[in-house]
Amino acid sequence: MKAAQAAARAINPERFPLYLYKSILRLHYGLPAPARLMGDTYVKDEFKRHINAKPEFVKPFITEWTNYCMMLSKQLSSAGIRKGNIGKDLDSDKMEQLSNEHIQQLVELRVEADKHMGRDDFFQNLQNITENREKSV
Amino acid sequence: MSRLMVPSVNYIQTRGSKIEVFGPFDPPKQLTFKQVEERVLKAVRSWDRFPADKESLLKLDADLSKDFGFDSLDQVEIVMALEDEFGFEIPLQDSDKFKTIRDAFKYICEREDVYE
Repeated sequence: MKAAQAAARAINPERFPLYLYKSILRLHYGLPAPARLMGDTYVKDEFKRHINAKPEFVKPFITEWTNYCMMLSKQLSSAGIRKGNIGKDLDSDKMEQLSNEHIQQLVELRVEADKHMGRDDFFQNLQNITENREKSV
Repeated sequence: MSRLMVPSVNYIQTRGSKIEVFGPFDPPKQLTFKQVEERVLKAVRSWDRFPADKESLLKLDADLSKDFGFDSLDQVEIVMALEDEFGFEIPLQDSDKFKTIRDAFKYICEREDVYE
């Protein structure tokens, strides 16, 4: 009975965002340090900004973060990354919705990230594609 | 028969009483009110977004929302700092009721059986 009451209190919709916030920050403990720093900063900032958001924005906000929390909880254990990679690739239909500016930003981000990792295969590919396109024009 | 009932050794050994060097870890020490207070304040002070200009206000009776202007999200983060400091989880339905730092202090003392 006590457990049932506790569960009923736990899903109190008013407090659910706080639960979500805490679980996400807790899950981030398992991330590698640089990823955790970035993730924590982003989560804190996003939640802060939506603290007085209108109800119609709150629902998708909470849904998306719940999805994120569930995805992460499957990929992380308290000891760190459970297996394989963390995160997931962007869906192709989500990709279609992005504007050209967004795509460009993502490409720049990828190139910079690769530079830090000492990889340049993506950048080479990109250059090849651009060259080929210029030739065909 | 009565001879068998007498314990062969005449002193009572309590746990750890015969050990002089306790091995690689210190045995858990009983916390005191003062230690808990220090550690609570330390955890709050070292929280990464603690406003530096309000450090003089930091004492047990400080009110989290009135004196520091912390919102519910900040409070969750502070409670997480306390959890990390003391090594146990404080459920949200309990930490929601913390109004002042003293409430958190009381909760921790109760949980850790601190009585002096």
